Amino acid sequence: MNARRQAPRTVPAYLATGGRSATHRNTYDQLTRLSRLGEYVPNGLDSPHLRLLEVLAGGTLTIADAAAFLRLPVFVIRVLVGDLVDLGVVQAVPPADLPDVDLLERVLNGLVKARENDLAR
Amino acid sequence: MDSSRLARTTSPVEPAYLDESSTYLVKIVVAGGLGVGKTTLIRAVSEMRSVHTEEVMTAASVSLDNLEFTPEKTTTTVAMDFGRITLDPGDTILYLFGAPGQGRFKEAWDDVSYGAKGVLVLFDVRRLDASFEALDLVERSGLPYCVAVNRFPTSPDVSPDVLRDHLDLDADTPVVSCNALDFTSSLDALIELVRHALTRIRLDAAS
Repeated sequence: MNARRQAPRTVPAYLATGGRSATHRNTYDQLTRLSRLGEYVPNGLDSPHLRLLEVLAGGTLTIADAAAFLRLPVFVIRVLVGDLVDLGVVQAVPPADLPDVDLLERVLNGLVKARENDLAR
Repeated sequence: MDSSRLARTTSPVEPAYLDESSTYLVKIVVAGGLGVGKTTLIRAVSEMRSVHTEEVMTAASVSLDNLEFTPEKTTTTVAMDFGRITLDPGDTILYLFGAPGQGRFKEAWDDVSYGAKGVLVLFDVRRLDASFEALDLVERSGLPYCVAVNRFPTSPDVSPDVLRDHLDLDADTPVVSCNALDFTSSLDALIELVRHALTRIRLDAAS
């Protein structure tokens, strides 16, 4: 673990959003997938926005995983994502585009296989 | 115990980037009272280290949090506690989120349960009341759920029917016994939950 993230947060979480606690987009699930759109970095972004953009340069993250890595509450990440989506530099994709019954079938089959593989070992 | 509130946070060393093939992300919630084994179960099943924010308990909260049977537990999970398991053939990832055990965290529950496809409600038979609030929140959410009794070494044997009766559960709500430390046993509980969720969807569709 590097020294930078070990240091205590210098800006309170509620200030990372400029005092906002909700975004006008209230549809961001914790499992919404975030990815960068291009490499453009808009001028005037503050540190939390820049940190999120920076980490997304490495790949796709869910909101929950981004929150865990950046050590910011999920509601903060949601606000940051709303801003970055509005600026056109981040894409937010819902967790899954399938009916529940199909998703649960996939999960069931996967869990049963994981169990069989474990017993076979 | 120090009465000041000390925050202790465990962050992942590397960002948990998703593979391009992971098309379907599914959330299941593990709910239950303080110390019944939510974090243990999530760790037993997850391929990725469970990430969470913990707060050291304050002296003031000891009276609220009954730890008589789990005295070694000194912290309560208040923020995020989750893990993930990539499922064969690799395009589906199951995320397991721990739901905070106490009613004080109702808002956190709303957030964690949003978008979930089902809930595993964990109980410790030695102190069933620890999970009453969690069960109440789950029932009100309308999400499909399965009751799982976590077997601790000193747990008495309680038949599922007695428990069902005691918890006033619907006849079709599954009650399973599991060992949250064990991968296979925890998978079995999740399998039961997913089967139940599927049955409920099919019944709803047929009616």
